[in-house]
Amino acid sequence: MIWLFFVVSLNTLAPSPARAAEAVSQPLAEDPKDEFRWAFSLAADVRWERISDQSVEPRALPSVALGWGVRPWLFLGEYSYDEAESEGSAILNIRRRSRSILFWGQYQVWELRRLTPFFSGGLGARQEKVDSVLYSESRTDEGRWLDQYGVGLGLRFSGLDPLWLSLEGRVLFCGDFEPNPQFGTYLRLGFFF
Amino acid sequence: MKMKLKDKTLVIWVACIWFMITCSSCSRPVSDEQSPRVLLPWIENGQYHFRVVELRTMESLKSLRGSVARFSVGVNGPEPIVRALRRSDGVFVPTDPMSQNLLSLYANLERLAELDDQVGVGYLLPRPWKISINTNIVNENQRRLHNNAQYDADRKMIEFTSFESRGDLPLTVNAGAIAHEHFHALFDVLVPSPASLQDCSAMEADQIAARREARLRELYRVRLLRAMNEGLADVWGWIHSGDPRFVARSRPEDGELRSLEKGIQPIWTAKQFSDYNRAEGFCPRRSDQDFVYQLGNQYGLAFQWAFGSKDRVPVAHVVIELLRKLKKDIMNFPDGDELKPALLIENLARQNPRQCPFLISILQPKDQSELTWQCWETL
Repeated sequence: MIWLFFVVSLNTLAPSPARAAEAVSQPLAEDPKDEFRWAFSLAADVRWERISDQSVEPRALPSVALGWGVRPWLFLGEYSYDEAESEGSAILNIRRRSRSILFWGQYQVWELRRLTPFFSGGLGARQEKVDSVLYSESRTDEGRWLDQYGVGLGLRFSGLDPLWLSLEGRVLFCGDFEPNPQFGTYLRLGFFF
Repeated sequence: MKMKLKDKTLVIWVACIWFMITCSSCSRPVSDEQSPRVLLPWIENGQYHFRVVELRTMESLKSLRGSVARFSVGVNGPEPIVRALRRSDGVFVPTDPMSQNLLSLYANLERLAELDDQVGVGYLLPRPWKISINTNIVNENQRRLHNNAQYDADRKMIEFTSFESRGDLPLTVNAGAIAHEHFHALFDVLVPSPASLQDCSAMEADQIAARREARLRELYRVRLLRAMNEGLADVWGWIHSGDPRFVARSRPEDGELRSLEKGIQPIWTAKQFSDYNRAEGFCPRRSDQDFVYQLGNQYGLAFQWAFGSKDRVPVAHVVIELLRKLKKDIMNFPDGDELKPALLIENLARQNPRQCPFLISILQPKDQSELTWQCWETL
């Protein structure tokens, strides 16, 4: 639903179909903005994961990314961190923390002046930590770093250069995900410099 | 030759599909390992600590499959999913309370299966046992229960309700409570249960009058056997956990009533129990009568005082022998109220003549003379 709203609202800002077709037919290399540019972004990394009551619910993680791009490519290193609230009772409870680093390559297939659909693929690693409390005993345990992979499909809106906004649907894979693969959306606000 | 836009799109799609296929095979669940070691809340010397426990019969940690037990969310629901991280030393650590509860429950059931084998009753309950969590159990007022558990004899299933955080130990982590419910399964196969009582709520007044005495006799036997079942189940909970106050850890409201760490209580006579039975009424609505647990606790305390300082596995043998004898007694007295509360203590004294003086001392004078004579003969 969010996805649909995003696409519809951005398309109202997008050029008419005739102009879009004209833009598609133009070679990308002719655009004066086709130069090496650094990119930075802040994002909400929303992932659908199983929670303690066994249901699968969305969970938003703050995420930052730094990278560079030369059209049609954009490469980004992302760092996401999650610290859940403590769950359980006063005498027996658990708090889960996770962090993940992913390197993404985004490839824009074509560009409609302001609206750019892109494919993405990423790989990296993920680690979980857990703080456990039992009566007066508390401890922290750390998991191993595990490989993590992902593919995505998204739309980038760059009408207010150097600012850009993107929404991406993702499928992520990791050995300790539940469910695996994990579906997610990535809403990003970034700028080029 | 330059690639056209269409060709590039096709290449990207093929690459994505290849990537997904490759990743779905390489990201196999980390927790599919035989006999995993798991960090769990575990009781030792009557106190709970975090300990690394090996789940020897576990086949898949993630789906909680093992040869001892199979789990479902609700009675007919799906299998629960466990989430755990794996430390660099290979030990798994649950990452949410439900996973911790489930793994702790499995570990306790595994140890209970070993105890069953040790005392020669391992063959009685076919494995894997059926366990239901987050079960919807309602009381007589149709209100949903929380922080509770029961053995469902019809389904042959141990059922746990959802846990509401109140600052108590969840029942699924409480070793004594898990053993208590497991014992009900043993009692169910070792002792013939009385015929189920006819529902009295729809009876007319003249039907009630005609059936009153017969009904009270039925209730007497059902409740006496229930008291024995509950009392010995608490003893089994203590045998498995070594914790005489395990009930109070999860249900403080029942803690004092069912504590096995208090002064000895004399065992009621048949007359006393019959009076409580009559006072409760012909058609009681409450299923958990306190007086049933009171008598059960008298049995539990008798065991605790007689055997409390000894190795607990021989005590488990004594309990099983007692159940076998109880079965014979019930078959010899098929109707009515011939069974008396002191029967269990008399049988215990016959099995353990050295405990005779103590066991005689906890009976009421009316029941003492018979046991004294029996003990004299045995000794």
